This record gives sequence, structure tokens and C-alpha cells, in this order.
Amino acid sequence: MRTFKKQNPVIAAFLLPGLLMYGYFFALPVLQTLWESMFYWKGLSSTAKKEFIGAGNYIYLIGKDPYFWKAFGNTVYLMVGSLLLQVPLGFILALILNSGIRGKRFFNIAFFMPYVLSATSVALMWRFIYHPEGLINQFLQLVGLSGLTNSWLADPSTNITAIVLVGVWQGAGFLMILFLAGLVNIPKEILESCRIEGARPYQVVFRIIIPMLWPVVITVITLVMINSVKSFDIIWILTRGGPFHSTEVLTTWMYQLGFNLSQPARGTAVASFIFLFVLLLSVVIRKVSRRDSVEY
Amino acid sequence: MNRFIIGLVLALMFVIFIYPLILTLIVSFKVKSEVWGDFFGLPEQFQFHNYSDAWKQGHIGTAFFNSFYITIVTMFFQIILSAMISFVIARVKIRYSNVLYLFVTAGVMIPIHAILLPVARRAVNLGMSNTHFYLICVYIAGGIPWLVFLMTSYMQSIPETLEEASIIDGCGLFQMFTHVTLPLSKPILLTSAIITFIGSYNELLIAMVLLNSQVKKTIPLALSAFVGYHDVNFPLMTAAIIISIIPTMFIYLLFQEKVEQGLTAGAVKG
Repeated sequence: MRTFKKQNPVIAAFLLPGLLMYGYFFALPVLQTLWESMFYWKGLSSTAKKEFIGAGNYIYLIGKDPYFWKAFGNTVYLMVGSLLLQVPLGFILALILNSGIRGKRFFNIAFFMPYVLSATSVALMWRFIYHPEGLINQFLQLVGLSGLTNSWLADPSTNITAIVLVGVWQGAGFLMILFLAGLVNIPKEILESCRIEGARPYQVVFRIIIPMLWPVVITVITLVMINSVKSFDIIWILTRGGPFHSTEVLTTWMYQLGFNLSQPARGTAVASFIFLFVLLLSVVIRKVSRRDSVEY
Repeated sequence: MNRFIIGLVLALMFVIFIYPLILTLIVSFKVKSEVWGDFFGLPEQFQFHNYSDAWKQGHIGTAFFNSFYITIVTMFFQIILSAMISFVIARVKIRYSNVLYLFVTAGVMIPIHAILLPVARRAVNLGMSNTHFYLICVYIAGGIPWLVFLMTSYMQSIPETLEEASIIDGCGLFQMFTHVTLPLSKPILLTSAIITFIGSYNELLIAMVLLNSQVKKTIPLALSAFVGYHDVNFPLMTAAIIISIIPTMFIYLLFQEKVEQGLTAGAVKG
């Protein structure tokens, strides 16, 4: 369709509004973040004097910042915890829904529902569940295990795991949908012939279904890892990174530095770090997972 | 035996996924003293005034209107602007359209944290902090990469014959866009509307950074104001939660598969 060559002004009118918005409110700020992470200044206003310090902010974060490594460790914990719990759970839910049960649609809705709710409202519900007198402790008392009751969000040995579980609860249905979309594409004859040949269910899952779903598995792993690094809302509402920074993650620490501790330069460096980390993760996963899907 | 295990797991999962919602609903009708007293029980009397209290004292009412206004405006412009860009990339073979596509969709990879500080500072410099206008601009910009990514691939999959016919019939570029491409793209426009609605209605971080006065707050901000370390009014808070999740739940139940496809669309393609 080269007939439109002479309509340049019209083409410009199509592109410019969107591109200007995207450029000014998104692309430019991203570049600013990366560039300004190499400067030092205090305060939010533009009149603040910026001093070029190269990698200074990063060196500070790595060497001197009291909570950067704590935050990084918690982010990695969140990532690994979600991978270990959310992915298998999403997969199991998908397998169950795909096994020809009655009321599939109904259960599908129930499991996906948390994902459409805001992380804010979900985290608030879970504040109530984790409350010292909340659902979990009440339940433990009810079944005679009052010795196990705990202040889940305050105890540094449980709070970060508690956060992982909320993410799992909210996101498992999302992964389930992704797995279901993949499962539909596996021909029923293959599964049927496996059963006739006497393959055990776990063999079918590990030898047939997972290899055939490999591209979906990779997508899911990538998504879970990146989303864990990016997650903020749930942690912010549940603990604000506390108590005493025990649940600090990269995103909350970036927010604290940038907006509460008037260290925008260091906050900017953390923001750049988050960006580069996410980029690195997706590149590495893509490289490592270079394995074609199996087709029969 | 197998059936039995599956049924058991399914029932257990169902309880785990749904009970928190039901509990929230029950608590929202209790009086404050009932919350811990008879934890698993139903309220003695349904306290409907919790809802009007949350609406007024909890400022959920104001936040509700703010969120709706912001979401609708964001939705409208995000879709229009993205559709126009996608149309040019998918249909008008201009030079450097690949570069353009990469430039715009690169944003998909970028976490919003990477724009937060400059965006907040610019709001202050422009004298536009605490305005809905500025927040909407940031929302629109942030959604463009996803929508262009989805719309471009959709529009490329539409057969070109209809559009070619429209050229022969003497349609201009603009008419072709409004009369042929857009109507043919209805499914992806609906998907986009769903993604944008749920995305901006639920967004917390950017709003938190840009808005600070009570009258400007969106729903997630108003909700997060319920977080207090001492003496949280749980019936009020749960009532606020229920009010706030009605729109998204309603949209999900109305469109079901469409919502599931929409929210997973990027993942499957990417």
C-alpha cells in the first residue's frame, strides 16, 4: 500500500499525538533515570545542583547503603518463593480444570478472580487474615494448635514468606490461564495412547505434558520472576518494608530513598538497577531456555 | 480414587481462593466489637451503615468518582492514540516503521519504577503535581507500548483486501482508519479497553507519588489510608474493599473469557 506516499501530513497527524505522549511522559523519563543515576543531588526540585559522580551512587548502594543488600535479598527471596509455589500451583490448577471436571467454568472464575482485584485491596484483606487475632490464628486455635499462632507480619522469620503467599494467592489463577491455553493444544490422542500403554499419571505429566508445554513454562517463569522484582503494592500495604526494614525490597527501598529520605539520586540509582535487573533476567532466561518445544 | 483426590484438592483450593473474599464480605456487615468476638460467625445484625460510613468517612465516595473519571479518560485516549500508531505501523508502509515499532514497544520491557522519580519531579516543576490531568498523561503514556504491541499484531492479521478495496473506492487514509480498520479491529479494542480499565483502576504507585490531597485520591490511595498500626476499623475497611472491587468483579463476570484473554494476551504473544 504505497499509495499513501503523498499523505505525509496525515501520517504525521496519526503518529505525533501518541508519540509525543509516549516520548515525553515515558521514554524521556526512562533515559533521565538512567542518566541521572550518575549524579548526586538532594531534594525533588529541579533547582537542586546536580554533581556528576559517575558510578558513585551505585558504589554507595553496594558498599555503604545499610539496606540495599537486604532489599536485594528479599527481592530474590520473593522471586524464588513465587517460582517454587506459584508456578506449580498454577500448573496443578490448570491440570485439574483440564481433566474434564464438571463446573470447570465456575472454578476457573473462582481461581482467576483474585487477579482482577487490585493488589491494594488484596493486601488489605490479607492484613486482616494475618492479623494477630485474624483468620490464620483463629483457625489454629480452633483446631487446637494455638501454640503455632504468630504475629505473621511482624515476625521477621515469617513476614517475607507471608508476603510471598499473598502474591501466590493473587497470581496463581493468572498462571493457570496461561497453562490452560497451552494444555488445550496438546492433542487428546497422545494422552489417550499414553493411558492405553499404561503410563502412570506422573510420567505423563513429566514426560509428555511439560515438554510439550515448554514454551509456556518459559513464559511463565519469566513473567513470575519479572513480576516479583516489580512488585510493590502488596508489600507496601502489608508491611511498608518493615518492621525495621525486614521486608524491604528493591522497589520499596527505591520509594523510601526517593520520596521519604530525600535521597533522590540514590533512589534513581535503585530504579535504574531495577530496570537493568529486569532486562538482564529476561535476556538470561531467553538464552538459558533455548530449547525447542517438543512436537509429536 | 483418582477422581476422589482431584475432587478433594479442588474443594480445598476453592475454599482457599474464595473464603478470604467471603470473610471480607461478612466482616463488612459486623459491628467493630463483633469482629474478634465471634470470628467465624455471621453478624448479629447486618450493619449496612458500614457502607455509607466507608463511602463518606473513608472517602471512598470521592475516590470512586476520581478513579472512574481518571480511568475513563485514560482508556479513551490510550486506545485512540495507540490505534492510530498501530494503524500506521501495520497498514501504511512508511520508512523506518520497524524502528518506530521497536521504539514504542520497548516500553513493554520497562518497569514503571524507571520513570517514577523524573516524572514526579517534572510534575513539581510544571506546577502540576496533585492534578488528575498530569496523572492521566502518565497513565496514557505508560499504556501505549502494550496496546501498540497488541493492536499492531492484530491489525496485521486482518486481510488487506477490504482496505485495498476502500482505497480503490477513493477513501483517504483517515476514512480508511475510521470506516474500515477500526470496525474490523473491534475485538482488540474491547481487549484493550479491559486491560486499560483494570490497569488504571487498580494502579497505586504512580498515583501515590503524584497525588496528595484527600479530594484528589483514587480508590487504591483511599484504601491504603485504612492501613494503620493501631485500632484499624475492620468493618469500615472491609466495606471499603467490597465497594472498591465491585467494578472490576462486575467487568470480569460480564466478559469472563475476554478478560482472561486480555490480561494474559501480552504474555502469550511475548
